[in-house]
Amino acid sequence: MKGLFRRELPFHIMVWPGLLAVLIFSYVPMAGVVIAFQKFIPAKGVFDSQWIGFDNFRFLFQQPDFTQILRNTLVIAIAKIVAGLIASIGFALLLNELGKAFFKRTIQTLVYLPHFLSWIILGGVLIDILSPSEGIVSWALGFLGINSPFFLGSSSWFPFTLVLSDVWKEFGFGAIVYLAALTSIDPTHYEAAVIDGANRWRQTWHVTLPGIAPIVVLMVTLSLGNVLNAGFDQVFILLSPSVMDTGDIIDTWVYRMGLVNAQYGLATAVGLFKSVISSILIITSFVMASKFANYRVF
Amino acid sequence: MTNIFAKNRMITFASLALSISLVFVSACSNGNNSTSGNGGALKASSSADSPSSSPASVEANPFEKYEPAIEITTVRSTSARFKFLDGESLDNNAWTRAYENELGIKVKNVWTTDEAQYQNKMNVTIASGDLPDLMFVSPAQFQQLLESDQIEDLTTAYDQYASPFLRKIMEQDANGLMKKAATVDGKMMGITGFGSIEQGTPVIWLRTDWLEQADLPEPTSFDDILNIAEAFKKNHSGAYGIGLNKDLFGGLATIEGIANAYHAYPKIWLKDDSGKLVYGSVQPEMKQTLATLQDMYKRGLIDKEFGVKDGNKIAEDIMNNKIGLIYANFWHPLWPLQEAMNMNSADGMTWKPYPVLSADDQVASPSTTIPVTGYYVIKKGYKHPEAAIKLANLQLKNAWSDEAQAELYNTDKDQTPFYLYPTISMEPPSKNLEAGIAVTEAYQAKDFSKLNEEQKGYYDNVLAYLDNNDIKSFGNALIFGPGGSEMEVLKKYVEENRMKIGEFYGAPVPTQQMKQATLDKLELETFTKIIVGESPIDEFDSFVEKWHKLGGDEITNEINEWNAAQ
Amino acid sequence: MTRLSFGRKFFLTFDYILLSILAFLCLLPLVNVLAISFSSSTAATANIVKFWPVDFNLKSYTYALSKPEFSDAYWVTIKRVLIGTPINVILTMLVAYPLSKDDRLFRWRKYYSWVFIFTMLFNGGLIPWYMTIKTLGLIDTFWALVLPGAVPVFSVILLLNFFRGIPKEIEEAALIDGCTHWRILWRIFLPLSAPAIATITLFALVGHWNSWFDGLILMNKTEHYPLQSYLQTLVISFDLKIMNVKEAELLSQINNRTLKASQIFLAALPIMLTYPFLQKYFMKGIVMGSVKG
Repeated sequence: MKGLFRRELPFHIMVWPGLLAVLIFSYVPMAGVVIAFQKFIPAKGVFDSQWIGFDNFRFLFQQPDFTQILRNTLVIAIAKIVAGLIASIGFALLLNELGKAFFKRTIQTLVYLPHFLSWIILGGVLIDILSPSEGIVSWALGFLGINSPFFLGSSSWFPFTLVLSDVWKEFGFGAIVYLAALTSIDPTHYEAAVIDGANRWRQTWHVTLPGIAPIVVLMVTLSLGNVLNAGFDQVFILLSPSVMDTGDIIDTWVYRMGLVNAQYGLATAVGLFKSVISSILIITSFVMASKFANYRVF
Repeated sequence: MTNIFAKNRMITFASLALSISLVFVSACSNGNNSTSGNGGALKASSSADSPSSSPASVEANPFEKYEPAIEITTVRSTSARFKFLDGESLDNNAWTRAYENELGIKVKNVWTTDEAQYQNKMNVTIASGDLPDLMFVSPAQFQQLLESDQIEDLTTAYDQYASPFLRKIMEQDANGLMKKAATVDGKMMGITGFGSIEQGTPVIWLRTDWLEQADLPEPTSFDDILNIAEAFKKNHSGAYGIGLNKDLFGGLATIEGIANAYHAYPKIWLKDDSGKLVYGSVQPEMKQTLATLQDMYKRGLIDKEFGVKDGNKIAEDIMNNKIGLIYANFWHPLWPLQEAMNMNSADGMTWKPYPVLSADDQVASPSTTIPVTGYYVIKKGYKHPEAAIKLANLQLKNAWSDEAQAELYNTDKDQTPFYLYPTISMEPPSKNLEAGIAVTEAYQAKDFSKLNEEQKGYYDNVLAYLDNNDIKSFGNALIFGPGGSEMEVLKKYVEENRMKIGEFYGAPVPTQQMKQATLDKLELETFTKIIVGESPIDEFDSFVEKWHKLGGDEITNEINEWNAAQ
Repeated sequence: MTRLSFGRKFFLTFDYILLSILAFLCLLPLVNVLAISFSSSTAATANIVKFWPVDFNLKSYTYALSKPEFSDAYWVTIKRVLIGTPINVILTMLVAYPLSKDDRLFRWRKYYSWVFIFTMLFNGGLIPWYMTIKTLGLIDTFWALVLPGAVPVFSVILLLNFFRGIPKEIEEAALIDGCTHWRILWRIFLPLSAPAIATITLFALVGHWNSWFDGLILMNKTEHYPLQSYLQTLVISFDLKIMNVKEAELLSQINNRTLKASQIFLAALPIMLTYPFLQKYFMKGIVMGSVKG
């Protein structure tokens, strides 16, 4: 037993500095989730604020528009996750097929640029280019004989616009992980496949995809943690009264609540609700992966 | 990829979700002015010699210097607007030197943060229990600090030390509402931060060059406004009849002024015939307003895409000759009209302000609120509570009294904004209106000897624009000069006693804290859908019903309880 | 090299064209920001600048660079990146290495893993977070920007998965040769997972460069703001409802789009330039067998 511990000692020592950091900066403040069960008032602090049990949660669930907001959040977030994964992976694979290193590097640098512009900036640009009367998109659609919809002002198009613009902004940055994974595939696998007479499609199918599969599974699992995060900044900037019924999400709702008065208890309760949902999904997928594929994600 | 920044996003979200913007303070500090009327604005004058009305115990020298000097800690919001002289800073400028040399008070800023995060940082400061000696808090924080007994009673300090000028502002201007707003159970618990009542009113801004082209007379009724809008749309390709922003209320291109034409007063609390405070947006007059707006939208007088346009987009449309008619505040000549003039004055662009106009034979009343922005309070147990009063005395004296040195304490010729740096910052609520009247009189008499330094600056602008056609001076000239918004519009509102002043100015009542956000969303969503014709006008009736059911009734009761306690 | 089939040629042509269009679409907004930054303020406010400056001038750049706040903030951010990124990367490697082992080799692995993962899912909110950092005496110190986020758990999990892809045989051989785990991490895992290390370095770098909220809340002096916190104070949209004459006079100065655009561009430039340098690690594959322990 002692021998075992000694053998594992270097592992422990490696983990401890990082462990210390998360214990101090993540676990200590985590005690603060108790304010989810309080009518928290800053001037009274955690100890003297009134305890109200699950009232904050009940308040959230009893909102007249709660189902609508929850549905919007789920639809937008899940669509973003799925579309984002497909776009990033697809882009990484397409880029990987190209031979010219200079071209590859240029493309890769360019697609990563929009990540660095905030939604505050891009919001104004989007309103211009998507304007049905004078936007460039409407002009292009008109060229094809299509009448431009009001992308930002019509309830049915708004979620679609959110998802597409988010994917456009982030796919290049999201592809970095997959590009790293592609690079990590041992080239000898490809050589072996070529000797076996596999063409490019078969190489992609039998070498490339299995090679990045663990990272894809990991990213899918982790992104489950975001099914209730539909992207506050973007929605907040683009939301307008005419698209509230399909565009209002949990985060914008909490923001509006906070405008009237600092609702720390409520905001913490919403955070806790999201955490619990995320945890359930992540743990489920972790268990499924290890049970059915015998693969440990973490 | 949404997941990469899971952690970052949580923080961003927390920040945004919890950031309690100052917007609310102004949006909800409606007022209580039980005598109604004009807030005594015109009676105000910035002289410091009006008689003291206080039954003061022992009156002491309002500018008495501390020997040796004392220190007072405070916290500050900063702004991108800040600009300092070389070597100066928030901790070292004309104001800090005046405090130290004239009063013996060393002001120490424990923290400074950008104005957008001030409320958030103030909340974490309050929660951590580490209060500075002096702080500016929102009405809601004021309420919390009162309940937890963390702030000092300033009654005695005020009675002893308040200068006549401070007393006049607190007790006489705006019907004494500033003192009343800070007084709880007979004790004065802070110094009220206050804006101007008349400046919250809507003003019609009209492109007069377009009006002439259309060969139409100046508008005298709301029907005229509709005709003008029709003409503007017809005569100018790409133009809309009237500008409207997506938030409908507050800011540039809003509907308050249009509602006022039908004697509707959305967003504010006013007494009904029985003397009970009721919410303006759910009164029947509002239905008529919306019917008109729906009709205007149908006739193409309103931009089909207004639903996504904020103030900045409206500004673009104005600059690009798409809007020649808006309802907005008195100060808009400075922005965006100034920029629009820079760009288009060569093509003949001109603007003129008009008071809101009525749709029937009754005069239209512009709606506004009592603008309590917050309170300066002293931490309980601080040894020199009177220091707050002295800081206010000195600031009023140096910035706004007859002895004021504007070059040193307000703005110098390079536009260095010294007026942003005082630790306690107050101004006479009707300062601008007085300036507008004085400047116009001086211009007509060609005699500026009676103007103070600030007013002289506006006078120079008026002269430059009207006599020398200097476009860069357009902004101030159209506010303070003859034909400007102060003289032509606000003065009339006040003199003719026309304003409808919202009468609730307290901290949000408990049900507001829980339900106001939902009700606001319902209101904005319903109004927008009615305007664009997605909902029929009768949807307004079911909105009113829902509003009452979803918390409106409780809020009405609580606000009336609040009113009874005043 | 075998001759390309027609299908392959067709596919490659399509691929080149598609990716070029995508890259072009991604470049446009940045070109727009750049064009605005070189335009006159009036043209920018009227929103008539598209992809080419109107009334070309450099005023906004000379103004931005002359503002001491801007250079101060730039310096804070550079310090933050130079100190924060190595801390992130080293801690990430140290944690990821043991956690990438088999449960048999490191029995505590699974407990440690969940301790870390849990922090990705739950947090206590703003006030407890602030109080903790305050209790440690870090408020208004440089370390408040670096220490609270010292372990980027997402990167740990990512790296852990890359480490697992390294063939066990290499590690076993090294152990038999008498190598310690420290040496294995340093001499074998590190070079073999260069693309992954480059990825997490980039994430750490971008994370430090972009974060603004911690600066605004944890710093007591505006001079201590990092760049993005400072920019946030400029970009935030104006509240047109609370405006007096003096403020309105300054609004046109502050609401100056050209100035914002130039500062946004100057702030984004360094981070955009670092990418091509890190990129080479994503470009060439690594031959596992060739590295000797």
